[in-house]
Amino acid sequence: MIESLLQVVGFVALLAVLVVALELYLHAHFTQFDKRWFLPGMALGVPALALAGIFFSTEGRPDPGWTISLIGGLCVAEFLVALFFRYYVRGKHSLPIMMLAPGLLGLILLIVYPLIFEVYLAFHDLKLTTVMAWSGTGALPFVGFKQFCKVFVSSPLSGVTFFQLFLRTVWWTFINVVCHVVGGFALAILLNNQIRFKGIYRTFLVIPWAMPQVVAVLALRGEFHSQYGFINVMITRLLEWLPWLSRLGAEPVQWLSFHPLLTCTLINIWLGIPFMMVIILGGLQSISRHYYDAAAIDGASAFQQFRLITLPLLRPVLAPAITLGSIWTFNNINVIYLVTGQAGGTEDADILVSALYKAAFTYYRYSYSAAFAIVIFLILFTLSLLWVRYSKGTESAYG
Amino acid sequence: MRRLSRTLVPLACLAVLSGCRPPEAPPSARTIVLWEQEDASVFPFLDQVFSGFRKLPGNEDVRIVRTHYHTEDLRQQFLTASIAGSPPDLIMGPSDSAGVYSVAGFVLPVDGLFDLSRFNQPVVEAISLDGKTWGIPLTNGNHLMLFYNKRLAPVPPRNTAEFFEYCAQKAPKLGLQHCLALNIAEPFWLMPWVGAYGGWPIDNKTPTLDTPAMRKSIAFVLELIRRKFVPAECDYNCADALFKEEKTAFLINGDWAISAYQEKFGQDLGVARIPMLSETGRWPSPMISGKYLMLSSKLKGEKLDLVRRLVEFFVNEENQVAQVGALQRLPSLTRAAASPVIQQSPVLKNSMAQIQVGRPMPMATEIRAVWDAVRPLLGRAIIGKMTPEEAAAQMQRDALSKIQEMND
Repeated sequence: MIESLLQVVGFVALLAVLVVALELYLHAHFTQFDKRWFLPGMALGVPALALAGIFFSTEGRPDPGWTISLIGGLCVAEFLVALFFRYYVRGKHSLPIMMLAPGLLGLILLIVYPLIFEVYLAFHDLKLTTVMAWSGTGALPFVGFKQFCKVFVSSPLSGVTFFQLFLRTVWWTFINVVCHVVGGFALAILLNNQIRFKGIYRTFLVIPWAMPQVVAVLALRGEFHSQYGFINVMITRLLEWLPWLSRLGAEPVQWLSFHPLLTCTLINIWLGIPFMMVIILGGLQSISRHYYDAAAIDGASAFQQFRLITLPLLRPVLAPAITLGSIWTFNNINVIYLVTGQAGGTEDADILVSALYKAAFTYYRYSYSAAFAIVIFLILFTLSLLWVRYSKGTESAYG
Repeated sequence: MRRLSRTLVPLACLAVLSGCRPPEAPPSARTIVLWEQEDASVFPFLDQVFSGFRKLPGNEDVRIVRTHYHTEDLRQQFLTASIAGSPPDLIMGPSDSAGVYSVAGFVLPVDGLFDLSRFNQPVVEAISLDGKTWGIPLTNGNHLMLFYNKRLAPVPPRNTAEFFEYCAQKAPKLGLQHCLALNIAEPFWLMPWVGAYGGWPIDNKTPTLDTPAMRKSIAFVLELIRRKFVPAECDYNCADALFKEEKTAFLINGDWAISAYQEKFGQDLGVARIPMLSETGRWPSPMISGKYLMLSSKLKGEKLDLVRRLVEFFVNEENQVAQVGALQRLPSLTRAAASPVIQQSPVLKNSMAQIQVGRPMPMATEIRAVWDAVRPLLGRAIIGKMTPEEAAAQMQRDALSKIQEMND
């Protein structure tokens, strides 16, 4: 426990040292750019420090070829950076750039670099049999658009094609988001009234969203068991109480076997409603009572008030929430993975991302998976763009 | 003067740092990183072995860092870490992932490093591929067997006819809704029956799923469900819970669960071979492998030597016998298998009897495609969306297509 804690503290300290080094580096470029020694000093000093770091980290035994090329590259790169600071930046905007630099560096390392690497992978051929050659030589065979073609003609699943999978994913997203919004709206409107114990209700309603998703999903998965789950136990009790329902064909359901996608959908609706409720409740509470008072004086009915005041004024809150909800639901692997079995399970509940996961981590088709991920990204990007334009979500409610 | 100092100070720092000599034995060379996927109940035994190793002369400064992962996570994390160039030194796990590691070149073949003739040969065979051995066996088994609750069934059925008789007549009298808890969702639990019908899911690297044995095995499982001898929609946790809650008299599960059931049932726990299939007169043949230590292909020089010594210590006779006592797992070392601890324990003796009719688990990477082809279609057959014949034919087609996709 203490060792783990020390590791975390050490990691945070390392990050802090890196941030300080970055800020010192920038500070030197902003304040010393007009000195005569600036260009040669930086072009030699930064690689020299890097060389010292390499010696230290390799315990005095660096790889000569790799080190020479790295130091040479650093010399040239730092010279160009120093030129840029000396003749173009000239000490301007030092504060905002220094404030933004750590965040920007983090974004580059955690988002930009993986994205570029993913595009690189998608045009090459990395799979189980080429992994070793790649890690040894760093070279992969270039295959052009072959992986992208495979995405559309060779599904990672046995019985479901890419287009069937795509339609299923769109349907899954649509049903989930509609239910999240409708359910969230209904609960938010109820909570927006002056009712007793409102805080308690709100706390209970937020629980599914606030608890770790793994715990929530696995707990609810158990409740869908055909024999021992709460839902079927209740159905059985109901049939004992109202036997005529059996004659109408009502009976306990094998949820996980016969209706895995429906089960996943029900669980995901339960998980998603609280988020929408919180967002919509926030929006409702920001609408001034004066609009409703004025509308009431003009004789507007409750429905007219809802349609002409509540909905338009909620649009700036609702449109981004729906966009986010759609992206999260479209990419929601957790519920599918946890409900239908971590080792692969049924294919009847798979959506695009869960199929992508199988291609990458069951069959080790890394380049194919990278191309698949880019296709999913482009689909989502296009759909989101269309939705934002159609819903005018970026426009002000009062504009 | 200031200008001079600005030039000299960085140069002096550089000279000081460049002059740093590596220590005689760098700390990383004395640290062994091991990743495992064991149950929490196994941790004390592992830590005890590591502590014993560090007490040996010359090993006082050795540090062993053990990190736990779930089975699937271990496979993915090891692959990712190996691709990134910083894998652990050792991984401890079953053999089914070793095929992937060996094809990718992430583990070392151990043939020249260890004397493999000391181990039980089937368990070595289960981690051999393309003429090389890719891990050192720690345990012998990882196999399925029949567990029974002596309070509900004092004597285990010897064959399926006796088993059916118990389920049809005695179980209802005892108020049991089902008599056998079986993880029907996983193909691993289907394979003993495939073996009993004279088949096997893979022949070298070619799937053999569209066979009479597979069709009959699926039909057999369907029959168990139809007659309500096993519950429908039952996965591993469900089967485990039913048996522990005494809602079934029998359970088919692996040797990894022995100690947990012994703790729960004590003397009332019985272990036996999975009943012989009366229809063919053959014993069901569970897949046999074990737990293995696999060495990262990045190991070399002094570090490799240190890791090799740790592995040798781990599988010495004393630790192998201690493992039997602590974990109730059969040893991989031939000499340790003759230990009185095993001979005097009916549970371990019967576990060993089950191994004798098992078959080595295939290690080829193609087995992954077999599992993923069988799993969904077995599910479809169970819910009646396919006949056993259709399911078996489709399994074969899917497995071949997945293998082609993997290699394409």
